[in-house]
Amino acid sequence: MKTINSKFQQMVANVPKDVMTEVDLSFDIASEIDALMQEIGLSKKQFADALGKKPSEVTKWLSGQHNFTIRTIAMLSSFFGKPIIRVATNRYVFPEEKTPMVADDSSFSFGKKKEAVADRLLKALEENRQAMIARNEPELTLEEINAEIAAARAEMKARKEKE
Amino acid sequence: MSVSLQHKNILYYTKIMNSLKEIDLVLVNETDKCTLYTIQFQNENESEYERFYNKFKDEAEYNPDLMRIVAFINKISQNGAFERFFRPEGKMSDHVVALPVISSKLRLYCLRLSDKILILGNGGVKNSRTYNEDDALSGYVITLQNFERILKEGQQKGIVIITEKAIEIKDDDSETSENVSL
Repeated sequence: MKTINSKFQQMVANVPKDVMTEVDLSFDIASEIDALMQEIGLSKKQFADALGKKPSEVTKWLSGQHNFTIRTIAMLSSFFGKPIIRVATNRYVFPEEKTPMVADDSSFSFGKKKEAVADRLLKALEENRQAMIARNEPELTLEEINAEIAAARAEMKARKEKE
Repeated sequence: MSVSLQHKNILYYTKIMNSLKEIDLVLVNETDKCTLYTIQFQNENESEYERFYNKFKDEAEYNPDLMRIVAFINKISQNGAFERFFRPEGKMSDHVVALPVISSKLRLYCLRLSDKILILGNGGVKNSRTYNEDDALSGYVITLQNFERILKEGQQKGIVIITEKAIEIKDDDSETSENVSL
């Protein structure tokens, strides 16, 4: 069988680097969304309904050719509860996953990191508390909240020691 | 089997073989995820995919979209030709699809036989609402529809074998009329 493989490779080599990176990113983001949808067991229609979007919008996201905005990525990350992409430095995304900065970076000490995590946990607990109130469920006592924070801190410490 | 039916089968076989002789199946790239093919008419020096590429590579207006399509086809080759990557075209009964899904005036028509087999066709600038309204685009779609029909008929007669990720077309010499007189 005749082949044009060398011509195909040449065509690919002629693609400018920025275009290649753009296609790589869009393709990989689409694959990540598709995998997360499958993980939860969401159809395209269910996913669109859950986000208040049209299925045609989801079709574009999953096509691997969509030019995603930061807003859409943030919305999707928030929906799935995990990052869709990671920034190369990992500096500004998801504080609890950051590695400690250089020693002279006074704006980000290990202590501040713990503080940031505690703030995040408190915020999550407050959101949870509001949701429970909305559902007419009994509110957590301060002791219970403290117990939750202590448990989360212990879990974080154990994870850190394991690492 | 009656003589006339046998004769009809031989004529049918010859027709498929002749159709396959007019169009060559050309291998573009092969990975464990996907095999890319294109087609080439006997009277042409280049395959359909090369003709598409050469038509727009020096066109300033369309080159960026062409480059995205080329890069995307490379990604498909490495990952698989999943349905979600394509815009359905043609009819419900065929497997003709188009790239890209997003808004672009450039269209490349393909035949997606499975996640692992993709045949790249030709394409052009889509100025009309549907491909049917454009003779050139319509021609590229019809070519792929016809090629799929030939492949299907060839499969039924044992001339064409489509495996998980490859298409094999038997040579005329390796067959006898007995193969088609079933």
